[in-house]
Amino acid sequence: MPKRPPSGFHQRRSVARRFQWDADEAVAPNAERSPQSQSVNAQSVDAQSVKSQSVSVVAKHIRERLQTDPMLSGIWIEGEIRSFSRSGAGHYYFDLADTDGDSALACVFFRGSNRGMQVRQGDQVLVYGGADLYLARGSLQIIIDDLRPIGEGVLQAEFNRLFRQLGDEGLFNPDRKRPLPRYPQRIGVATSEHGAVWHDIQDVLGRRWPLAELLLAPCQVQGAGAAEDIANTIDAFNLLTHDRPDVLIVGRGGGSPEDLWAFNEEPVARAIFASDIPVVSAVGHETDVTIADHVADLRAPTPSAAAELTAPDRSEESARIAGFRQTFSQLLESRVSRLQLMHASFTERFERAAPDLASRQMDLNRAQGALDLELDRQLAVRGAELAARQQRLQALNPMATLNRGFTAITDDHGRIVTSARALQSDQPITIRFHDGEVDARTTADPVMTEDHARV
Amino acid sequence: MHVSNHADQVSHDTDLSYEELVEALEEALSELETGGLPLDQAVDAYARGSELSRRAQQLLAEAELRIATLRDQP
Repeated sequence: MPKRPPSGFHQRRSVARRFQWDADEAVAPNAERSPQSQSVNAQSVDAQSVKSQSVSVVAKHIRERLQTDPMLSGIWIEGEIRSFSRSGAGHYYFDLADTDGDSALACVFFRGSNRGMQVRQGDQVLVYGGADLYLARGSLQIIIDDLRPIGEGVLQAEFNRLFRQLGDEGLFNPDRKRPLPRYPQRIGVATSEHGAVWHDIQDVLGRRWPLAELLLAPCQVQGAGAAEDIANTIDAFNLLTHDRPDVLIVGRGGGSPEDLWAFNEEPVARAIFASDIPVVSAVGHETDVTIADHVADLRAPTPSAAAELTAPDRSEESARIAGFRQTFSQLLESRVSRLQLMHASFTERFERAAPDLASRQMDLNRAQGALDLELDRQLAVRGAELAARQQRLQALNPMATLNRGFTAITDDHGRIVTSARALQSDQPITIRFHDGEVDARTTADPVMTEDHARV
Repeated sequence: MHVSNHADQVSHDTDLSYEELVEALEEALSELETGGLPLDQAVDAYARGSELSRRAQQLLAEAELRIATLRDQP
């Protein structure tokens, strides 16, 4: 028995109440097969005269049939996952389709059954489940109990093939990525004229960077011929001889992988690679990464983000300019204050020079004092020496000896006679006393004292 | 003389794009930052910077998004 959607499930919520209904009683076999022409022909049908059923009675009957059908109530089905979406509550919704056919079955894979299993668009899978009628819409869906992958889907396989090929050719080479202009003057946008992308880009740039001009080249972004149209539009931008944009945004809003498929096609990849103008890709939502995103110079997760990545923000720029202005003021102020400091330091040096002179004066004074002291000391020493010498001189003065009663005798030539032997009898001499002299004459020859006689 | 030349150049050259204004602004700033300028030239760089930043702010404040459509495709 397939599970019913829980309450809160948007748009597909079913009426949970089970309805017991006896088909044979309510609808006669004939009535079921009654020809359509009957109602077409009738101008007006009286409700009382026809045995009719309410919609819910019919819907519930069909549901009952589906749920009790031996084949449909539990069956393995093989197909490719398309139009995959995941609800906020964690339920998966997708179509299961034949890879090369037109048939598709709507599938529901509730959270309790899917347990967060990785399921992607294009996956080739084998599912086990049962058919059910979603009463609110009368639509048939397969409620899935089990899902097993069985290899790549066709779209995925094509993606992988082209990805490998273009990668080998160097279209994704990081070295080729060109920087975007810092301040774009003209931004070319290749997208649908009516899509959310164009609206979002105008909105974001009008707010953030109205200094730029926006140049829209409307193009078809999904369906047959979309890839060629996008590629031609990129070429057309590059062929402009004047007013050529300096950056391009190429993209579209969110959608199923089939909707986004044009951006996985070779012409778009080649045109982006060949573009002289740097290209920002903005395809679908953040989780959608197309081949165009790999080739582009910059991949934006969303169209709004593309507009933000392409141009600066006006208020941030304004703050930056204000910062410049402040830096200018600070630089000039610091220049002036540096000059003031320099001036102050000169003054200080002058002031420091004066105390130097004073200290030298003091040194000089000190030296002078020391000199004076030394002079005094030396004078004193010399004075003392002089006195001592005078005393010694005094002691040697012969006059002092004369004072004590000795006399000096000179011969008639005026020579001091120091030996008795120098005299003979009757020789004139002069006797000198301390207070005068007397001339005299010797009366005898010298008589030598005993210790001098032998000489 | 050097000083007034620069100032005149800035005030008369009104066709500068925002990008050119910012480049001139950055140039004046780096001149002032290197610090080797004589004082009169530093004052000139300051005056130029003030004028450039005023004009850049004006561009930011007054800009309105222009929108055109490319119709003629090959």
